[in-house]
Amino acid sequence: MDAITTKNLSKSFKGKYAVKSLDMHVPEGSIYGFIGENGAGKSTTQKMICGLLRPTDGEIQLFGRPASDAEVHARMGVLIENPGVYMGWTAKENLLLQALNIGIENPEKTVAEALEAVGLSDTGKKKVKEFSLGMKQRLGIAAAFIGNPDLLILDEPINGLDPEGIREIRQTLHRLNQERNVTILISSHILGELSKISTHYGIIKNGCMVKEISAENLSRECRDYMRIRVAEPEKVLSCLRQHIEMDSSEILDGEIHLFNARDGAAVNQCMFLNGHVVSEISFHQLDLEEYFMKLMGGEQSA
Amino acid sequence: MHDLLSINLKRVRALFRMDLHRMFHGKAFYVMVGIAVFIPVMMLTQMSGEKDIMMFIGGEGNMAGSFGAGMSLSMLNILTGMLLSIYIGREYTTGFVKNIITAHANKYDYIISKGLIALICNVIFMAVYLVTLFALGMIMGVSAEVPSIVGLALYILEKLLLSIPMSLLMIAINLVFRHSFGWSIVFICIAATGIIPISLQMGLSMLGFGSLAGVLNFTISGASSFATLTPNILSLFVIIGITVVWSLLCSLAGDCLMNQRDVL
Ligand SMILES: Nc1ncnc2c1ncn2[C@@H]1O[C@H](COP(=O)(O)OP(=O)(O)OP(=O)(O)O)[C@@H](O)[C@H]1O
Ligand SMILES: [Mg+2]
Repeated sequence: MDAITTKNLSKSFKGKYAVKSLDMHVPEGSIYGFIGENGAGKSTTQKMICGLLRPTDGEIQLFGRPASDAEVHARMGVLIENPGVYMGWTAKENLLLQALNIGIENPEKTVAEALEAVGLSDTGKKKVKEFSLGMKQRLGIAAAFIGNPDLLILDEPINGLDPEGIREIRQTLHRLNQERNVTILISSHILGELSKISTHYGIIKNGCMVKEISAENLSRECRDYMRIRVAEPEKVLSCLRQHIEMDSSEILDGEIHLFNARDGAAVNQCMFLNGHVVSEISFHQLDLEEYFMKLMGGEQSA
Repeated sequence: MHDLLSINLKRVRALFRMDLHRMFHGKAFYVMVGIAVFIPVMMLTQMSGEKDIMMFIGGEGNMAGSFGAGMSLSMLNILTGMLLSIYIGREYTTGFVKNIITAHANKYDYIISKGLIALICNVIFMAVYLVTLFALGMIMGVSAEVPSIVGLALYILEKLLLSIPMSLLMIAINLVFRHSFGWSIVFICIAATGIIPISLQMGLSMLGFGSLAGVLNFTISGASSFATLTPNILSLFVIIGITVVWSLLCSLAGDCLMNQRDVL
């Protein structure tokens, strides 16, 4: 079952579409990296999922139920754009409000644990307005984690965090996902970070979903390989297998793909010695970043 | 309407506990309590001439007649309204409302919780006001011609009942003007003083539509005219009816406002 499904989801502001006919599928138990440039519509989509914006059109289902369902909403933890906290209050007081808001039975204890988890235990009487950007962000993350939600919706959560903070949050997210099967929808434009934990990706451009892909398929698409075009690929491949060092190989659309074969000269020589005529030989190399840049449609912005 | 039928009391209670916690841990509430003490002190010490405690509690008769005296208790509604403006306005400016809306898809959670908070405020403000009034009056030797204790108790109960739809109306007003503290206060004062029905009523009577003007007694502030110091069970029932009908209408309005508009 999908934790989040949107069908034809659209939102317009004063006649201009911020999100247009978006179909999204976030499988239960996945960590879904939601990627797009500034203004692509990531936050708008996430706000609609949380019920903060009314969709202009389309529908949203959460765990197979309509998004208006109050029961299913109570299973969500959210951080969208800036954390919604009282600046004149301390971290603890703010989290206590959130704990009460969602009806936690033992709020004091839960709050202490949440503060510990994001490394804010020792902020004491410090008011949030005296916090650094990263500390505020940590507080927002803690507020989203509180109450053991089954679905986390995080909009650029690592904004403003230091490398150590990013690593901690990443580990926490990974742990929640592994241990408690929490589904996580996380938006970011820092690809490197997303790629360390995401199991699925959605790429949004100008309010439209350009592509949804699992990490597995993505790594297949992004693998380095040597591409060889010849007249009789089967025959050539069996010959190459005997002489060339490589991880694996395949024949796709009449093309030979050699994975992790680095020595182009050796390949060439082998084929020459065995009397095969090469019509084309090249390296296929695409890293994650390029892949996304291509889909997001801005080589110019790369 | 569907929302109204699927209210989950556990979630309402959760939100209400949050609201209550925030109220008792913030300053605004205590400032308002201070004002509720200050008003009777000012009135008793500054007003010259013949006076009686009952002047500051309420009068009889039609709205316009009781305007001056009856205002004293309605003034407390303004304090509650201002508190609601502070709480609701700040939820939107801080973005805390995101946390509330996400956890409470049913908007009646919000409206009922805020309504209960308002009711508690009204009870506290009224109690503080009356205790100060009677205590200081006693010390100062001001006469207190209480016609009947039962009548007074019923009168206070009726005022309290009518404060419920008034608070719900104020919640709706705050939801409309959630980004403008100034405008929400202006409209809260307009609602609490009942200026609109009163002036309509006076206008209609002057033009000779006296019977039509009577209809306005069934507005929230107009219903004060049914609340009298002489015990009257019938008027209590009328007030209960008015309370129920307007409470439903105003919370429905609040629900629509929340559902129709984007939160952010
Ligand atoms: N309340 C609003 N009123 C009008 N336009 C809006 C509103 N919110 C968003 N938009 C517009 O919708 C588009 C998408 O905005 P959105 O915030 O969803 O982008 P984003 O992908 O989250 O970008 P970023 O990476 O900068 O956070 C933008 O063009 C933005 O100007
Ligand atoms: Mg955004």
